[in-house]
Amino acid sequence: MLIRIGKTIIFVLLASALALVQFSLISAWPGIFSQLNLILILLIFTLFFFGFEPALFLALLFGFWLDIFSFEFFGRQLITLVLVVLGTQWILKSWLTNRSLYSFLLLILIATIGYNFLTSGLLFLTLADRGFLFLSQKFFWLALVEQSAWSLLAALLLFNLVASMTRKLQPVFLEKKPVL
Amino acid sequence: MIKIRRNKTFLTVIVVLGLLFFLHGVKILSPLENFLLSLTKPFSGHLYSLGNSFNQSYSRSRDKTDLNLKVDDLNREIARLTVNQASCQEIESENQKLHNQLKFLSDHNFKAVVANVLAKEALAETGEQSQDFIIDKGSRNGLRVGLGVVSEEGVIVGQVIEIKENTAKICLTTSSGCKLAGAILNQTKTQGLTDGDLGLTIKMNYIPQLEKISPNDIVITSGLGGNIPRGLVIGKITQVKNESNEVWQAATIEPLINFNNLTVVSVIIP
Repeated sequence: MLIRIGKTIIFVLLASALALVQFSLISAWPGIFSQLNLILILLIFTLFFFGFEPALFLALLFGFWLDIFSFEFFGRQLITLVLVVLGTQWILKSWLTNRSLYSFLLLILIATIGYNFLTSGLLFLTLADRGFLFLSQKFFWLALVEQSAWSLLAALLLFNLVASMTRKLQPVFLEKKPVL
Repeated sequence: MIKIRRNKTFLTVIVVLGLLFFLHGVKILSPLENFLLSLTKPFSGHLYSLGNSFNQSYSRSRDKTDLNLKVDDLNREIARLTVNQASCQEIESENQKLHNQLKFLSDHNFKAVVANVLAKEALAETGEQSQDFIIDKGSRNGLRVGLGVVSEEGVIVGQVIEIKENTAKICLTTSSGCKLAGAILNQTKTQGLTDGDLGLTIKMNYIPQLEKISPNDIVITSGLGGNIPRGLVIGKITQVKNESNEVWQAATIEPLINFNNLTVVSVIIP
């Protein structure tokens, strides 16, 4: 019991530190580097390798932290991250049949696109002075492309890292033995 | 069995989300949020400085030589000298009632709150990249919406647009919608409203045709509105759009410093 509580506390602290890194450190990086969405990458990584419930818990934690840092309406990140986890879980269960690199890449790409549309859409719906629809903004599409590229690169690295540490992700080939 | 467990998870998430929204809405969460923000502030500041150093070294390394560094230093020097020059012109025009920019705060009994930049906020809605800054001082430190924010050199960089107890959001003078009452340091001291232009420059529209303005004229804050004192340098006119068949003319203003390098700013409380 104590070990479980300790693990949960470490998990919460690590998640909080990551939220802080995303909010303060990555936002200060130049141009394309600032588009690295570490939180989303780790969320999908958790969902893919550790399951639905830890990912959902992480989404709530990340969302809460980002929402208290942010000056936009409270709940924007919470709702977005939870919906992204629910959506990717549904895709993972209903459409993807294995735990291959291609599944992981596809899942992270869908999650990145979904996250960007949801977060900008929610903001657009709640802004009093709406201005231009985000879909017509060059910055939105540029950020989406840059973020997708980062996510795919990170997915590639993470998957290979995990595959090198465990045998579970190694491909299995069935050999046809000659009948005696 | 799995279905029941999944339904239970959904229900838990909905309850947690509902509770969070409710508790935030009725401000019960405020003490916890403020405590967490105060707790993370020092880390945020350090992380931002770290990220900013990477930002600066990255931009320097993009040039093969140290040219960038030298240009930065020279720009800083130009900004400092232009601020001094602008202050001198102001002193002259107001019968030496105002002192130079460096002594501005103490000589005029303006309180200034020094703040660290915690983060940049990028919004797709604005169509601009990272134009709002978040600083580590808020209403608890006497800040309020509308106050002017100046850089280390004394150049006005923006305005407080949103406030929380421990943090505040500032828009940069180059951000669309960041409007400041300005005055051009020409013969007639033309007044107008400046507005950011796509996060790159500042524009001043609706200047009557009769007013004589020219490139290199310095634009300062006019002091109208009461929140921002007169005499803070906004920038330098680089282009004047003047059509003979138009009623108004417009000016493009360039800020004197690079806003990407901001880590410490001062909020002036008049």
